[in-house]
Amino acid sequence: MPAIKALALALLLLTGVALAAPDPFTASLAKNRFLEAEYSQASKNRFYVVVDLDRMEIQLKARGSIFRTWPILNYQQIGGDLPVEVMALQKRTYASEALRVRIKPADGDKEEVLEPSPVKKMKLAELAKTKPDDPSAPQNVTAPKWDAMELKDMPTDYFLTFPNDLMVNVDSEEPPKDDSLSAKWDKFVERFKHTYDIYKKRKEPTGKGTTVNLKLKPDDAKAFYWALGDSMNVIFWAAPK
Amino acid sequence: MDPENFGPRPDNFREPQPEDKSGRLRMAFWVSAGLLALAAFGAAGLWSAYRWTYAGIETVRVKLPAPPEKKITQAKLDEANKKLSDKLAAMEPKGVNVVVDTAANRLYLRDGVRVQREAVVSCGSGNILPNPNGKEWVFDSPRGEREVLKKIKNPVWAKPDWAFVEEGKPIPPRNDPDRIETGVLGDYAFSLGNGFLLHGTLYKRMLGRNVTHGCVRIGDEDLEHLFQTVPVGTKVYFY
Repeated sequence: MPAIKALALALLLLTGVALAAPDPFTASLAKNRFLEAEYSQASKNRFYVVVDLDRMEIQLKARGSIFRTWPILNYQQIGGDLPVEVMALQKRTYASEALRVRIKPADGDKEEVLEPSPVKKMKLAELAKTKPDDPSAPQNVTAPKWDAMELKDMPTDYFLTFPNDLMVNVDSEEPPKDDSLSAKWDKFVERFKHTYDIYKKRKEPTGKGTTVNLKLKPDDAKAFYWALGDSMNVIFWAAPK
Repeated sequence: MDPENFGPRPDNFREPQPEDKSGRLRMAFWVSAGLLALAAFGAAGLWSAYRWTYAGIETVRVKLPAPPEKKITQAKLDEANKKLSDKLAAMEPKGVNVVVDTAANRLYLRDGVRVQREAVVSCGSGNILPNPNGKEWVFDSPRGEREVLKKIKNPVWAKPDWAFVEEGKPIPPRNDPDRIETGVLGDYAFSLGNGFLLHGTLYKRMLGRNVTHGCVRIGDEDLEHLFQTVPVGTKVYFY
């Protein structure tokens, strides 16, 4: 009798596995759709992005060749399934905007005047606040003559909006300074607030749309933001499981 | 004396009734249900935050493709996939090519996908200059694939309109000699079209920073090497 029970259980498990895994034809078809999508992008003279969720990395590609990769540290999916197709980035939104500097044309032969970016202004204001007796305070704080939009000023947390109600939340965090319980709690509260923000942003968190959370290293998040031009085409890929 | 018997009962005396608890019970039920719902909602939020903070990578769920319109066999599908993969591989850059990382201000001279030389350069500042005609100039380095259209020795800079606007000077006519400036682009330049150049610089201290009006400034040694190695028609990839 125990042998029959074991056999029945094994059969049940095997049936379950067979039902859960897609058949090889569907897997090949999915791969075909992905390759066709990529080929359509590789034929153009511009960069495109492949979010390869099998390898857990973001690839910046052109002509089918990888120019840059950023590893994905964590992945979470809320809502529906991810479509495997070419999607043009519609919008990038961020909390701390990296603004471009508007140059004020110089007055005749007078010296050129550049307006510092809001990020730089903030840093200068912080520097100006430091006490004069602080040995680390710079002696002579003046507005820099030159300023530009640089990689360091790019955001580390932002949302990417795609068609078909797909939203990608890129999230990064500095490694915790200490391993104490309070630090862990602070991190947890921060993360809870962030998750709440995502839910708030999505009017229907469990509705038709899909939200994807990608966690990157802060420097990678900045570089990825920089590389994402307006209307950059993005393809998500993962073999059906 | 019988302690239960105190004589005749008054007219308004009513037998004690068992307490009616149904109202209170209903109230308790709804309050508990509300609390439970709140707790469930909070727990879902906390669980989501916990998953994101501490749990590992989740399973990716992708939309399964719609069945093909025409019937196709597994073998044919595999063959089509192989063909597509081969086509993609054939597209990869071959021979000498140049890659410019505008964020890191680096230029890579490559043979195929192998890096032969890395150079610190200066790329576009991303600044905006208002144009008197209403539009504006954005000083970004280009993105995407370009091609070396021309190699120039001892290049001369024909100052574009924005250079005069930026200096607050009136814009001279097209062929005005005031537009010509020599010695500012270094010994060599590569024309990429639309006024974009890879060229030398007088401001070597600024190499590695985003300072230019869109062109890529290169140090003397690297520029010399590039001029000797990179032929006209070479692909230049900007990202």
